[in-house]
Amino acid sequence: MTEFIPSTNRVKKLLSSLKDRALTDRSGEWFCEDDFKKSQKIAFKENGIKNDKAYFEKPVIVRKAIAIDTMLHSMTDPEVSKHTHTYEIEDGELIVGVMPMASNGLGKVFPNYLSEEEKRAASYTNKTELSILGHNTVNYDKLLSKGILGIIKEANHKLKEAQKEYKDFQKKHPAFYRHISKMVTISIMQNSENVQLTAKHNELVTKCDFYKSVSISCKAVSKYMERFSDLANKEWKKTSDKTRKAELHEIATICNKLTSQKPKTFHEALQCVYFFHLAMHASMNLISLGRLDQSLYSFYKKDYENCRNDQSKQAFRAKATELFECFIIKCAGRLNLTTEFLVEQDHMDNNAALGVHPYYLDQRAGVNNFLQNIIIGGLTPSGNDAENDMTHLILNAFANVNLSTPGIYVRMGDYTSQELRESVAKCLHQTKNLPGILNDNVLVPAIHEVLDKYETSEKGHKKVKKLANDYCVDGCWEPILNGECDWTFQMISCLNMFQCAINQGAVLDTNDGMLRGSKVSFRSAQVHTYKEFQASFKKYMQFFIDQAAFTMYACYTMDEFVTPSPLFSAVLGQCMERGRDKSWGGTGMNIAGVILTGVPDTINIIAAFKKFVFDKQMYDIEEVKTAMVHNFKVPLKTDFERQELWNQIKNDFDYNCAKFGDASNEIKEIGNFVLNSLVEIVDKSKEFSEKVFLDSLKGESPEYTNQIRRLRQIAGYSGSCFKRRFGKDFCLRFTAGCGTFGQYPQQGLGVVATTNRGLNDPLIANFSPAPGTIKNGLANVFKTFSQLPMNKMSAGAITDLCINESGIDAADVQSIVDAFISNNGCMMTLALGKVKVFQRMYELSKDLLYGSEDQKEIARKELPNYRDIVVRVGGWQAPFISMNLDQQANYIARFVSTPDTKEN
Amino acid sequence: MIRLFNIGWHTKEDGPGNRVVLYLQGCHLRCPWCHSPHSWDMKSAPLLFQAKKCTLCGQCVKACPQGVHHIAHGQHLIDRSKCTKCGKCITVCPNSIENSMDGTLSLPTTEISVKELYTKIKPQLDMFKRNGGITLSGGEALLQKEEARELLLLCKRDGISTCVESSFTLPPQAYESVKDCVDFWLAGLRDTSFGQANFRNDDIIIRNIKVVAGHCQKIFARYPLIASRTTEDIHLERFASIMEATGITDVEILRCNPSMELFYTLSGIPCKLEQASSIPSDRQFQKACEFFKSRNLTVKNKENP
Repeated sequence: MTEFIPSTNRVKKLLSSLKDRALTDRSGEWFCEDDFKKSQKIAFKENGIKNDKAYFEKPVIVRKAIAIDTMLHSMTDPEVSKHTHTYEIEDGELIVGVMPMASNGLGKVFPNYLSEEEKRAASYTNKTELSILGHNTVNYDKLLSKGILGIIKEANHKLKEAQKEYKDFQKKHPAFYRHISKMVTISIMQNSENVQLTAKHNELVTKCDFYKSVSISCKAVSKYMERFSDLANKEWKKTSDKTRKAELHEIATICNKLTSQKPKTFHEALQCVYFFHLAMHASMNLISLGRLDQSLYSFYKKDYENCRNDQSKQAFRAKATELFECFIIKCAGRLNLTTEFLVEQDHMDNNAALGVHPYYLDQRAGVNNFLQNIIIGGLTPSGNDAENDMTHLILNAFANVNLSTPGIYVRMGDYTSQELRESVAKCLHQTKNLPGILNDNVLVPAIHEVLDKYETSEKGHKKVKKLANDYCVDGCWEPILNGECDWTFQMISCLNMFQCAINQGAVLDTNDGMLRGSKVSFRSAQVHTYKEFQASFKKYMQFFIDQAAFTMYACYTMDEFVTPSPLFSAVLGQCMERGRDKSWGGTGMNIAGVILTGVPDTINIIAAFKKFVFDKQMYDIEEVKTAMVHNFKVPLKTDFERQELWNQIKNDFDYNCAKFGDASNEIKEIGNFVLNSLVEIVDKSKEFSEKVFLDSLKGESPEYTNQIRRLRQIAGYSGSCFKRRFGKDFCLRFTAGCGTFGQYPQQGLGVVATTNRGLNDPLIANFSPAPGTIKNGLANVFKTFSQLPMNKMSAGAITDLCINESGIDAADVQSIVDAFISNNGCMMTLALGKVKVFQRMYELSKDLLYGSEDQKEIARKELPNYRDIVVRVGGWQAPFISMNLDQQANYIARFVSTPDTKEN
Repeated sequence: MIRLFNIGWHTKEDGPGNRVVLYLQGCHLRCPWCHSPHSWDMKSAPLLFQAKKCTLCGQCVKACPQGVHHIAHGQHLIDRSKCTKCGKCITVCPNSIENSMDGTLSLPTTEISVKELYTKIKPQLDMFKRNGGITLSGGEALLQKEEARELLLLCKRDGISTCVESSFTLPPQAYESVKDCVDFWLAGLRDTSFGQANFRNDDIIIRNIKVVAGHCQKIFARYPLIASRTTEDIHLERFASIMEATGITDVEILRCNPSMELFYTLSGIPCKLEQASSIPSDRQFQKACEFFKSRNLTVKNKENP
């Protein structure tokens, strides 16, 4: 096993400084509207914009690019930086640039680029500038191979070509242009002979706007780099320390070099990645860092091989590790370790990042979720083991730094070397939570199967095989194609499907004014048998998944006009080749995930109903529903007989039936039913939504054409088919998965009592067993996976486990990870800890929020002692002391016993 | 069918590495310091009752056809002599869970076919196969020697490390029957005269250990250190002699379990020792360690892992 190199004093100091800062009130560091005024003037001037009027006349994508420029200017405005601290180089830093405050839970701040009327119209669909999803990754290979200047040159070259094509087209069709004076997109004239011409005109205009925007936004990044070069030079002048002087000189040189050249050394490549990542996050795309061990390896290897002897090679490796640790610390710069000042930092609005409804997420849970992950290991596109020295170096750096962000996942499979297995186990044992595990044995085939359906040629089959081998995950855990796809998803409640199936299309509601419940779907007949239940469940699943599929298509009709992402599109998929923004279908690959929440809860409650209501007929379905609505507590306290019955139902539901994770035949049967239904129904929804939105009606019969147009109108869309709008290859490739992310406390609110949980209690985290139900050893949880169709979960299904750390060594962790992989688990996070310590943190957190002044003071003093304890929240890692109380309590209940548990 | 009263799914205390420990029902010795008196009955453990968790709802009184349960004056009384272990009281009890010792009432003994049991524990055994295996403990595991052998053979077939804990006081046939399928032995060398310093059984123990000695990888001795019962020189001397006679080099000193009285309370079995006075002092513990070390034996315990 490769030995881990320990952190240097520099890293320890930077880490400590970050954590100290994270324990303070950071609300003053956020940008505010006024901060953009001066920078906007500069950006306007640099981009030839005379005034606001002229700005708002520009297409949205161009405005967005100028807003990116404004944002990056503001970040380096010395005056603004007095409170945002975004134009500073900390003593000892080797990687420079500062990300502005933002997070998935606290929101983002960005210069306004939508007009008042656009905002008013967007209120209908809850779209705002913040509606940008992020959740993706950039093609860093492209960035590193071209450099920022290379991309600007490419954009300018393509812009010239597109402008020339436009002029030629204009000359060729003078009649068409008789009434068009400006180079703007125009409405398709439906019944006109000019339909084709209009489409071509719009395509060319859009292309020109796109390349112009890419150029503006990439130049903005380049200028930002230059300004940091200036700052490093200024610091160089101020510093008397010779070593630091040399470092600052090197930093200034690198920053400057990156504006005009592609990176050549490891340090340059890492700085380049950080600058671009920073610019992405500053422009609100909170995204993953992708497969950095692959992207950076050639730079690392070259520098390493250039070392003259073993000693210098060793020194270089140590230096590279230190650099990477500095890089991690920079990425984690926005950390909040205290829950005291969160309300002041709440910058969230009504944005609908997914679909058209406001994005209500558990904000406290997402305070430190920046949606940035690094993925290591795995396969190369051609299918070989991708492990390299960078894989180990990154693991080493994470073992040393152990921050909650960026997250780290390692792709593993049957092919994974013993050395990497040991290193992963060692890192997990040392950090007690990193890295997360992705099982290529199931994920690669799952992704490949979804992509391959759409391919007809040999070339296409080969291409998607490579893409599947090269997959990574976004900032949570959803699998995406590494820098090659646009990705959106919908979360659908599986428990709602269950409730509709047993309650005639309504979810059970504690408000008796709703009669049989809240009507979220169509009314159906009452079910009496398990077979009837299954049929009903599938119908409701179809209902909700159809909604999700249509919503994801519908997003493409509006995103271009609200959340275009020219900077992102510069290095994503085929956007540059096609001259289209990602929001305009430019990537070439569009993945749409259908993710069921609350699947383990649903499997457990189905198991209870199957056994006691349908098979044994011990309890009447109406009585059970009433008991669930009333949280198994009779409204009339003197109704002892009924209370006894409800106690019995609860006891049987909680303890006397099969549970997700027990490897029983019952769970195998029900789990297969739910997951196979999901895959089957996603396919059906895919076919139907393609029929409605995607395919051209050219050459179709008038009857069919009318039918489809009618369906489009019913679905709220009246435009042309998406293949015409976004290109002939456009389609959404639907993936299916299971997960609850960090929303399990919130998603349990309003949900009646089910198995092992009371009314309003949190749902089970992701694809894990219910807290306290692992009775037959951890390995039977893994055996459960081997009985389920995990290799069809192309949108992933992550299992979060936490075990008592006492008595567990790195070899044990390796055995656990190996068992997970060999049993076809899909994704896993493992946290190790001591229950008593977690309980103490909970008590202190509670005191900090609700205690007396004395208690608060004690909590303030003692809580920082636990700042290094990081756990899994659902979609990401979080410092335990930064989590909300519900999350903390839920976490404590999840511990699985291991040796010496009693001593915890 | 094999009878067991508990499963330890992941322990590092009963044999080398990570072990799945099966606690088999039945023990012929009934040591007064035993912390699992519910294991003594050859067939099944008595009804366990946790008074703290009882809400005095009276459901068990109604459900029990034998009249085992009585609730009077705010107390729940149990007459176990009438109990047929039918489990009806557990089924109706709102605070009890079938097949679990977590609730108010429980019947911990499970009777299960060896194959079924093996299927249940196999995933966990596979997971820790590289560094661990199975341990049969008890009770006295080899009182169910046929079932134990069947299970051990399944493990050996699948390359799983096996370990058996025994007092080595059973007839030699018990050891003969499994000696070829056990990798490690935990020799629970308890004082069969229970503190009376009667050495007559020692030869039997030595003989039995010799039956298995040539067939296994290693034998570990376990020495229960009970104040005033096993802390005197005469006891230490005696155990060292057994170890020397059988070539055992490693001994683990087990201090009296601080929760020794728990299962006496739950099972209604009278406890003959007083817990507080049975726990050895640190001095007695150190003395025992030093004694064994002075005899060139390797001492393993939690303070010295």
